[in-house]
Amino acid sequence: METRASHVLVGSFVLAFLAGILGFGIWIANVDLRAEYRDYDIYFDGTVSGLYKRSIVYYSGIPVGDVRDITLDPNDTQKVKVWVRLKADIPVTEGARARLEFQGLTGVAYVEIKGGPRGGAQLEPFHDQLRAVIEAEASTYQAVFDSAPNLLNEAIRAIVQIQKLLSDENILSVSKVLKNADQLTANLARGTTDIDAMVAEARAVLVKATAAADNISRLADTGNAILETDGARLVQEAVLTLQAATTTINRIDSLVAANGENVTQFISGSLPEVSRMIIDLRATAQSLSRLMKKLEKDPADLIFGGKESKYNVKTRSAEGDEK
Amino acid sequence: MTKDLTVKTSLSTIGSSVVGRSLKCRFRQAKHLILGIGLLSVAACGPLISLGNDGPADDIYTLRYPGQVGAASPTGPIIFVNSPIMAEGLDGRGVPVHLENERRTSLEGASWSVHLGDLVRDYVVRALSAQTTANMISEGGLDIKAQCRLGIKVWSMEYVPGAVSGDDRVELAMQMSLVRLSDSVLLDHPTFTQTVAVGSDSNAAVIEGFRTAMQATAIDYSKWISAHMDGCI
Repeated sequence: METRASHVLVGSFVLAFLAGILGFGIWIANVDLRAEYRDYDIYFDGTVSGLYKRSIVYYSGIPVGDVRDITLDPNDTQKVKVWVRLKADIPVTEGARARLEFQGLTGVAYVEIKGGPRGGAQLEPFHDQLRAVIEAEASTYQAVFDSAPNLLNEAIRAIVQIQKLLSDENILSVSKVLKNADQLTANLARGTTDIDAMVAEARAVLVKATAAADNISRLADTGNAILETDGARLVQEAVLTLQAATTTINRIDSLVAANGENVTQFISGSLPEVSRMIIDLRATAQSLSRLMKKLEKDPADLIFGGKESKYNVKTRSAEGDEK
Repeated sequence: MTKDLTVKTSLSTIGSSVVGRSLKCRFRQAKHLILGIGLLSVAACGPLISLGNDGPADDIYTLRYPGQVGAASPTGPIIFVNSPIMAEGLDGRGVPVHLENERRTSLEGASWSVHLGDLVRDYVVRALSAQTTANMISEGGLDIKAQCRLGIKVWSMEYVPGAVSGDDRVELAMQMSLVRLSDSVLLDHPTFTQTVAVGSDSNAAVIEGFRTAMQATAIDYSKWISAHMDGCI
């Protein structure tokens, strides 16, 4: 006997089952069918390694969208064009900035968007643009990565300089300096005894200096006493003497002023003659001395003349010579 | 009383005048006596005193620079020439002769007109005045301010007879010192020497030798003064 089935009932059951499966999938995927989105383009300079399609886009730390596509900029191959999709209610205003950030040390990248100033106009695409463009800025990591090669070069250069500084010769010199410093400190340590002796001597000298100062003070007191007694009289006499000397000098001055021409003539003319006269007098004194010696020796020879022989040119002999 | 005193005074005045006259007469007599004794003594010493040689008189020679008297130069310095200091035996009126064994005498029959030092001084003054632009002064230059002083020392200026007549010569050695008077700096003090042969056996030839030596030396010291007189200014 053939079972009689209801085709309408089976068809309804299958449709309901499929609808249930579709609803379950939507629920599982958490798809918000009512949500609205806005698409933006971001142009990054340089690499975006670690960023993939479906990577999350954050706005002030809140996930607000994802990366839809990553391509090279057709106008500038040095740039990377990243297409992101954000929720439409996210206020991406003019002045907003996008940065590429990394999650810890995993190397997974994401896009962080920082909104523009409050009250700014919503970012809209320009005339020929398909999507609005968010300005990109270099992230901290990018700055580090960009400057890393330079830092490495600088570090290598510094290491080379340090190697030069720590050459064997310099190390030897530093070793000598340290050795000298050691000797110096040792000498200083040994010299403390001498310093102690020096301080003791200085103290003794100070004691003597104090005694000398006392003596000088007493001497000054004595001098003051003398000055107060005899000093006044001496000063008075000195003043009188000075007055007399001043009067004499004034007289001489007036005398010289009145006879200036004669004095000048005497100094310029007669003084040299006096000098010459002194020389002549000296010669005369010598002659007189010779004369007196001659007189003492043989007065008759001086008065009547000596027995001097004469040389005869004809006979070629002097008187008294043996012919 | 007053009359008695007047009489006594007049008597004493007469008495003293009489005594004074007698003393003057005695003193005059003693003076005549002493004068007479002195004359007798001098007369007694007559043989001892020689009042001159009885032989022929000496020929008197001089040393005179043969050139013209130099004119005053307005640009040249004034140099005072000291009287020369003559070495022992050279200064005098006798013509010095240097014999062997360091004997010294004078030439017979010849003598200088004045002392040899004066002759040398005048010769140097005239020679330098004629041959340089310096203004030379010596004795008589009073009240003239000189810039330099020229000292002269004559070490040798004598006739030296040789063994034979042809070897006779006159030797002259004269040292000069030029001193700047402003600071008493000795500029130079060279010695000029000349030896001149004597032509013949006569006093005139010997004197001619002296003249020749002086002339040759004058050329040398004139060049020297010309080279150093700028240092006087």
